[in-house]
Amino acid sequence: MIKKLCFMLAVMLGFSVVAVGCHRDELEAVDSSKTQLYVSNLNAGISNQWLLDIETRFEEAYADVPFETGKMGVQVIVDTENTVNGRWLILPTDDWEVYFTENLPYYEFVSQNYLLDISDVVTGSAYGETETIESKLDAATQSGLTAYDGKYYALPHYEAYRSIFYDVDVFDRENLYFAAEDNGNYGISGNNCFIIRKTDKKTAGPDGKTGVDPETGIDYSLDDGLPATIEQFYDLLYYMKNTRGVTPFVWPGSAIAYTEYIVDAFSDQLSGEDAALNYTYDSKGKPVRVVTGFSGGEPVVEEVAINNENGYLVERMEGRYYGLSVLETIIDNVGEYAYELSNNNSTFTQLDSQEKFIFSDLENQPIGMIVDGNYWWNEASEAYRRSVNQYGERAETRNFAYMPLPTAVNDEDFVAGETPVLRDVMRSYCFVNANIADDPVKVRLAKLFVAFCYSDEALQDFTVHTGLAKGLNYELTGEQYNALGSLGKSCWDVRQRATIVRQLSANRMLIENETALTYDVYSSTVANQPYLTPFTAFRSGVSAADYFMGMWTTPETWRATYSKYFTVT
Amino acid sequence: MVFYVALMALPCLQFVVFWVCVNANSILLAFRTYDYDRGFLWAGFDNFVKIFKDFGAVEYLRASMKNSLIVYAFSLLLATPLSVLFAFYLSKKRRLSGLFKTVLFLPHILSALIMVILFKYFVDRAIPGVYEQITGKSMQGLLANMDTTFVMIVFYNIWTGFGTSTMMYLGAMNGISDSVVEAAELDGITPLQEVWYITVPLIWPTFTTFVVVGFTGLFTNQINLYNFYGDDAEYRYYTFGYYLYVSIRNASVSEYPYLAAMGLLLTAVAAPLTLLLRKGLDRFGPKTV
Amino acid sequence: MTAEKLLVKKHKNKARPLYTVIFCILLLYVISIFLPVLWGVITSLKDQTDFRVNVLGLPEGWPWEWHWDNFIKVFNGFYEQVTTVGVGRRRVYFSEMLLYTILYAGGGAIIQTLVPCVVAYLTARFRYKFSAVINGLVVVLMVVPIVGSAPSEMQILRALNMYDTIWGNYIQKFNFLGMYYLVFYAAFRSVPNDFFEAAYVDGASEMRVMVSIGMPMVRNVIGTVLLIKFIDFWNDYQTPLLYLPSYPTLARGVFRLSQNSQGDFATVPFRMAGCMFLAIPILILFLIFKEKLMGNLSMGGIKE
Repeated sequence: MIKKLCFMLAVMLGFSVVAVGCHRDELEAVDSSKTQLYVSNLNAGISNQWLLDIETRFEEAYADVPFETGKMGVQVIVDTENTVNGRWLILPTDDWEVYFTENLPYYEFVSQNYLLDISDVVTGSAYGETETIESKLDAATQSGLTAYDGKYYALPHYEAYRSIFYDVDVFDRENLYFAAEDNGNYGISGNNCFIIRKTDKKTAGPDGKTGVDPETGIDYSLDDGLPATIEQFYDLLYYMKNTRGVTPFVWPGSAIAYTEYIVDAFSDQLSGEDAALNYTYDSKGKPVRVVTGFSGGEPVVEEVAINNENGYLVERMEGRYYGLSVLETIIDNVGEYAYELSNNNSTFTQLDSQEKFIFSDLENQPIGMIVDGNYWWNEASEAYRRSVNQYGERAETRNFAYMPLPTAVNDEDFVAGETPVLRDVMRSYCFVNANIADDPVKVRLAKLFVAFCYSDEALQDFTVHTGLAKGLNYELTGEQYNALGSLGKSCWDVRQRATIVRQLSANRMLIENETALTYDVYSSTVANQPYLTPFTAFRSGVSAADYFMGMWTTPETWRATYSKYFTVT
Repeated sequence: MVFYVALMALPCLQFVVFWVCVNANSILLAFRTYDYDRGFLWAGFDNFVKIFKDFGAVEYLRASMKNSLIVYAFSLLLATPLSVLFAFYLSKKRRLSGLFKTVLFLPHILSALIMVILFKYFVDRAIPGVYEQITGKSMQGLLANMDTTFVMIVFYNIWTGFGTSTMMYLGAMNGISDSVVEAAELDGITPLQEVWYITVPLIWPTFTTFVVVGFTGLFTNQINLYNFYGDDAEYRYYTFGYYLYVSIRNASVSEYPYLAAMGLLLTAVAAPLTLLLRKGLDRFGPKTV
Repeated sequence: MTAEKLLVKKHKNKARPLYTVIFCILLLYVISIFLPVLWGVITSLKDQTDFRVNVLGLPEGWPWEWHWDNFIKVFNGFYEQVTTVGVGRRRVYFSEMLLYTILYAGGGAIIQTLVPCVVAYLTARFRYKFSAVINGLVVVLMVVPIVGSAPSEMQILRALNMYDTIWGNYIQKFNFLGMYYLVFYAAFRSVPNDFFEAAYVDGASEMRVMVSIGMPMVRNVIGTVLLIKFIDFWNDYQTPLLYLPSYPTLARGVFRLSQNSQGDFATVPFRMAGCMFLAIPILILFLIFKEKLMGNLSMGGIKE
């Protein structure tokens, strides 16, 4: 028997050797006449053409520069499909020199000396430019990145937001827009709230304004008719489903944690600039609305200034409660308000969800909104291609956009002029591995490469190829802007006006407890039963109020853990 | 003697380097704490004290214990007897034994990557689909329906777990001498009696090993939760093995000491229990001539 | 036939309720395994446009219109990009993965069978205190969960220049821990000493005795463990992912295929087709050695 086994093994070995001989694909061999630079890029479902372009241009730009004696020029070897997510990189023993990744625990890695100090790159200029890279970073990012010890250890890579995106064509066709009260048809034929004809005048939407601002060129009419308050949002869901037959939501049933994006998105929009408190833990004396309890099912709200000592109140911010409340309403009616397979079905992945969203209208089972990150369009490119193959022209021009969210709970609280709030939790960075610190050749090369990647040209190229913005300030030419798909344009536009919240902070308390204070923020315990995500709790009949209170850290626990960051008064 | 030392040397050396050295650091971690500015500092038994305090308070640890016990009970009271009975059936070479042998072992051959996808689609799409065809009413998938999720996961583990144990028992049963069995049959015993009075006692060493290994599973079995949910299984499904696995995977460097301490504590509890169990089974099990 | 044997034969052929019950359970079990596997095969013959609306049924069209080309596409088109420092960047397709899988699984299985076997022989035959220590160690270590050892293991591998090499991985496998040590131990313990005494009397050396007498006695066990280990390593994607980045195996390829969120292959039919590549060679191997594999593994390696 052993003999037979060995024989079979030998046969298989022979077969595979022959097969390999016929099928070898050498992409790039090391060129010993040049100095090598190893760049690793996380394969996160977005196109990596931008990096290959940079590789070509960089090699060209430095082809005649000797980095080592006896060698001329540089050969950049790019691994475009690294699968190890930022958190699990074992940097000290890794072979890569420059990284583009996401989910990087920045402060933790800095404290462990994994990242090389690139302050001179950031305070210098990108290739072919005169302005500093630092000037492209906004103030919060600058102070956040240098918060550990005053130096820069990474640069922001891409930005992405997890929120709700809608099919504009479906909304347009089904007239899913609120009618302005001075609309002549208001109140007629029972359709009080919503427009009946496309020409009907719509409400001003969440930003409270309409029309194009002649000075800034911002078009405030894009969100007209969309729900400005949570009450209106509920009305929209009901109307959408029951009168117009449009299923409101789709999300991956195999990853119900996606429903937390709904909570975050609503919570951030309601909190406005206070959303940043999630990381700064310092409202600088400004009072913030926090929930202290419940009475008659309604939250009891107080206004308190937030600092390190009462940092536990951040999880009790009013906006956060209403985010949960919105999700509760949706999940309590999940059979109506969401696509069937979104209800915890383990076979319905995010790719399936995107595909369903794209095909739904083409198959006359329209779904209005998808819950995902704005990179979903990239991930769904194959599904889009299939839809065009199957449905032809109808499927070619689709119009998807970022869904502007309500800025108030009800009409009484509504204030016009609120800007959108976007939270970027991708923690996507470009950095250099500190394990090359002793090799001056590599250090110089790596720094030149990073500087090369942050020229305006490189930043624009990235956005055009992926539809995502990089976490810096830069402009796009008209042509570049037009090359973005509908979703890319919508997100780019929102971004220009929005308050962007990043997972960076100048607060020592957050820096030294990065994981504890930012990760796993949705678990809760209600009646001794722990829950990982609100979806499960709501399906089990738990109320948003109880879930909310179950998330709270007690002042005693907070003091016990974080007392070294404040003096107890 | 020389022979013994010569051949033992290499494996033992490998053990020292790849197990002891690699893990020595991790074991020492249990007695340290991480300070952001100063790195790892000595903390004596602080971590252990914290664990004892947490054990009563932290709900998912309690859920872990409960689920681990439930799964162990199922495997001991359901899967083990079934495995023995299946092996008994196969050893008698009854109808379709060949087919059954192959199919029982199949899940072990197909990687979990495949089995889990097949299971998910079967349970969350196929069964509701068929139900709808027959009754016209829609039904939520069995994994999707939170009332039945845990049951399905336990079922999956049992459903794919027959392979090795049944084959082991079968092998042991094939070693039972025919004369003993024939004599008993002449005395007119039923198959059930045969299993209880003859088969099990005669395969006792094999049986013992599996019970002991199963016992260690109480602390380490993550019941394939990682294959189903990755890092994001709901707390109510946690077992001890999964809790440790996920905690270790996602730990930030400052949490390593706590987890190392927990691992050490677990070993301190489980190891003696395991050895005791083995001794007990050996001592008090049926004696065979 | 003697009267006794006739009685026994009659006894054997009587319908027994226990057997009928077990038969029904096993039949149900077979169906419960067979249907999903059948679904897996059918799915690998569809394309996504069909699969999206027709999850359960047969592929559309006649059998010759089914997408048999899924397999060809996956074999020719799916690749993993591998970059090795100092060597370069290349694409590894299924064919090359197969090669590495055989080296990984084959070599690994041989080592992980022989080492426990030899160590078990030593501890079973030579009853030194040390042997008892080893024995207890194996049992205890089956329980121990280790925290955060990946970084230190990496460091040791790199320090010894064993990271990302196949022979380095063989050394990593050169241990005696695990359940199969206990299997060999029990097997050797149940061999009466007489067999070995005879050989010593004939003047054989220890090595000779082990190789010519000890091992053949348990050769069925060796064969079975070899096969089980081979199957385990064949399906193992986590270890190669971590320690052999330049030598992707089939399992790792299929794993990456199932994780892929972009490109042609990110759909269930293609993933199933990829899974078939992983499953079929092993299935064939299993079917050939079925009888040997099952029925011979036991804690006592001798049948009278």
